[in-house]
Amino acid sequence: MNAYSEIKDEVISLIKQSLNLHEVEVTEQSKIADLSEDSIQLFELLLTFERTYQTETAYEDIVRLHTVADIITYIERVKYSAV
Amino acid sequence: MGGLVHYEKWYVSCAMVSVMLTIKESRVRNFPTIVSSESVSRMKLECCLSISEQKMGEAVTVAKKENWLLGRFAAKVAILKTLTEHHGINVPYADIEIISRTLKPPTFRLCGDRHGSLLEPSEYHLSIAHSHGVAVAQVASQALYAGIGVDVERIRTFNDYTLRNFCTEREYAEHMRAPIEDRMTDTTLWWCLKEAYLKALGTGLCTHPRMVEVIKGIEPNTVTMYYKNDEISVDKYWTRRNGNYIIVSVSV
Repeated sequence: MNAYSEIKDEVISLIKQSLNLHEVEVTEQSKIADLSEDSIQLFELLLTFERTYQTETAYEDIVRLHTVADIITYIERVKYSAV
Repeated sequence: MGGLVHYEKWYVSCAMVSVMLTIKESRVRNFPTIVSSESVSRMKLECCLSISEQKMGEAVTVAKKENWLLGRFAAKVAILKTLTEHHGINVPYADIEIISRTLKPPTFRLCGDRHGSLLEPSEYHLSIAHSHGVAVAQVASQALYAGIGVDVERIRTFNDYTLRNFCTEREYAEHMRAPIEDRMTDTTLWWCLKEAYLKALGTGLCTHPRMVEVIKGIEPNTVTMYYKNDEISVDKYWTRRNGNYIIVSVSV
């Protein structure tokens, strides 16, 4: 499995867990703002990414990402940028 | 003008909140429009959508459709109020199209050639919020306000990690000193004020909510607000506790 696929599974799992979307299909095309019930949920999701990937992500970057695919690509870039 | 703001807090049961109530109030003051899923339960909100919105709605997940429809309907009611009160005209809801923009406040347009010159949407601010079956929207003239923002949130307990991230040190300390029975309402109100203010600035959550600070005033129902440590002045500040929800409108 390549890095993108690994991160994709991880990100989708985090989203489903954080937003309690176990019965909802989350795809790479899913819009982050549409997945959350309200802004507090969205903020908590962004914190989840910050906490999971710690110093590798910045709120100001993540908050501007639009879709699940954008987040996966961003995390792949910051996670492996030092390699 | 200082940063001390006064707000009213009163209680309205969800069943009483209706579109007609909001329209009546707006003739006296510019209150936001509030719509709950209970108040519109007999309406087919899909009939209020433009053709473009109907296509857009097909991509919205079933779980989010209700909030999405409520938010759009609240916005259309708010816009129609502006049309009738300021221009003396009436158009079908389906002819008002709400336009979502990435990382920008929403806007709207009137569909159809016959409405084209009735008003210039770019001259108005529009703000929309929704949470768990309640939606809020407000329209304001750009000639009168630099920006407006609304927010609605269900009153809830925040986990400590979230609190420490969206609260400043002063806010967190105040939260820990507050009586336990007040904490949920206080912190939900702070969130609403922060987000409404950031929406009024035009940035929304792209600016970290910790950049806005809300400190309780000495007088009852007053707060002082700070943005990046500078005391800020908001032109109007309005809150309502509606059952389990807090609704806030800020204009600057």
